[in-house]
Amino acid sequence: MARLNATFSRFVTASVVAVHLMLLPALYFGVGYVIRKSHEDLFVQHARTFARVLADEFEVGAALDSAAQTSDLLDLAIIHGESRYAELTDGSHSVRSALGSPVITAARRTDLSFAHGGDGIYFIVLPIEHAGHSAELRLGFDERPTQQRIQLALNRMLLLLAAYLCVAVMLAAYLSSRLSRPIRRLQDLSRSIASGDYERALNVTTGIRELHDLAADLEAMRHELVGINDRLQEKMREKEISEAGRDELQKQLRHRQRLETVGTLAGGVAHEFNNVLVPIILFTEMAMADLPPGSPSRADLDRVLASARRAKNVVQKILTFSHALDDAALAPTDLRSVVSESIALFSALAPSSIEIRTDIAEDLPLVRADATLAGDVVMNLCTNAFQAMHDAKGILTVGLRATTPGAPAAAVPSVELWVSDSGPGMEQRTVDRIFEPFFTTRAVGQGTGLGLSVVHGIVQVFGASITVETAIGAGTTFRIFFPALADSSPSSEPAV
Amino acid sequence: MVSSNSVKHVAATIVLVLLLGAATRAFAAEEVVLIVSARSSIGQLDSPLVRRLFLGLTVTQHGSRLRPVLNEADAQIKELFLQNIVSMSDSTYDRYLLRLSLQQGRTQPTVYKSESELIDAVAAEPATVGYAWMRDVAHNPRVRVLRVVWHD
Repeated sequence: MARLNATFSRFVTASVVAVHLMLLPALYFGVGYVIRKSHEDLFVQHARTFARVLADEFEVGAALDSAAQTSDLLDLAIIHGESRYAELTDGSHSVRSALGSPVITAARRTDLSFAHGGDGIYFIVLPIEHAGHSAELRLGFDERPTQQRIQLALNRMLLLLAAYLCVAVMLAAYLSSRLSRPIRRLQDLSRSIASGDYERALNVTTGIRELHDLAADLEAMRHELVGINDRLQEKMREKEISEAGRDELQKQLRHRQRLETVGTLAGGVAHEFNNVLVPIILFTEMAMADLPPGSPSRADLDRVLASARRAKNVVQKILTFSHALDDAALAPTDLRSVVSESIALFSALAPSSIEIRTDIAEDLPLVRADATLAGDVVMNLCTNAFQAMHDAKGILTVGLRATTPGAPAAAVPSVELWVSDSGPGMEQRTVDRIFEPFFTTRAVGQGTGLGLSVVHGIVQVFGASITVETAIGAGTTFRIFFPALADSSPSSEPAV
Repeated sequence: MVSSNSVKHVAATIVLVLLLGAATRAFAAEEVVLIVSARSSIGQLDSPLVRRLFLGLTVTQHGSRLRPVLNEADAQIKELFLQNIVSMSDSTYDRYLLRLSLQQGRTQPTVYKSESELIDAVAAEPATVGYAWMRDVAHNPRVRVLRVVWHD
């Protein structure tokens, strides 16, 4: 497995250094060879030409005729050339320039290449024929200036290559850094996306086509990912809402089933109890009719009759809750008049500490209801609100309005009746049982616990629905939604 | 018996003479000489004329144009030729010959990598002038030594 400890920038820089460390020595030695050969060739060419010219002068000229001229010519070879040694000899006699280097004591064999002798002197020995006389011209040229020039050129080239290496490495580091910058940005953005931040766009500005295309492809993938994520979240939201709605429906269903069970049970008991009460009331009235005026038993029978009638009233409420309202007269009803009359009646009974407000809209459609029972609903809700405010100061609001189709609680055109109070509100566990018969939060003997259950029963008879909105410290609002009658208006002879 | 000893003595003397001859030849001074065919009528050539000849310039003698050939049988004789005859460096002489052929259309001297081939070429053509080690041509009747170009 490849090691992953090298960044792109370091890798490129190291590669450039490695390549240059391999190529630069080869370049140094190659160019150095050319420089060396060029200088050596130039030196040899110069020495040979100079020696030939001098030899020709001795052969063709008259310098050999006089020892003084010979010496002068050899001196000129030292003065005007790079020769350090000049000698002319015929075997028996020898003339040597006194201007030559005293270190060189004797000429040796001719050198055929630069630095051949290894003593820094390039010797050329040329035979000379002049007037049938043979001689040898021996010249020694100093190789050291040429060697120094070669070394200087090599040193300069070494410095130049070192400087080039430094510049190349810095340039490689800079370029690799510039190259890796968009890659690092892509990496950061990709990691952001991987960590869940889908909103950061993959905007990478680069002139490199491959990187530009890669960024564009990744941006397209991010867009797709964002779309998928949004769709997924939307589906999850819909699922949560669906599950919440289903839970609410199940809760309502369970509540309704419990109320129906209780209502059925209570209705059965109330019916049997009513059968018992009817003969009691009937025979008590017959007995009271048979009593002579002023009979001391009349007062007792009055108490029996009153209690029986009170019991019958309770039974009637239980039957109402259990929908046993066979005598309900459902007809198109204008709820405005029902509410107005009920409020007027309740205002007369309610204490002055309660402020009653009404919010009744105009032009409400008619609903199918029994006006008397609807009035009972309003009275029960108002009484419940008054009791919720604990007989203290408070505001009771009764309103009517038409709800628009699609409203949260009403799927069909309806008339909404609401009663709200500024009481302390209710806990959820209280709300869950509020429509159960005989459930009350008041002290024993202060309430029958049948008011809201009767309201619930009447609402069921009307085909309406009822909701409760409450919060601790924020009061309570009951909302009843009566299905509106189509093509109806208050002027179409409502049964009030 | 006497004759047998005499034969041995003569044989030993011959062997000694041959060994001495070989030794003498081995220790003889090295020389580079200018050669022409033994049939050639070319006379003496001084060093400027020889240089002109090997620099590709026209040199005629007795109405015939001389033709130079180059000996590159070994590196030493090549360097001695460059230093003592044309007085040029190797690359300068190469550039000179190239310029001569390209600019003036002259034919470059023929180059021989083998000394025996060069001697054969010189011996076959009377107008040809070449150079060789003295030891290789001293006893060759087909060629004639014109002059010593270099000696050790």
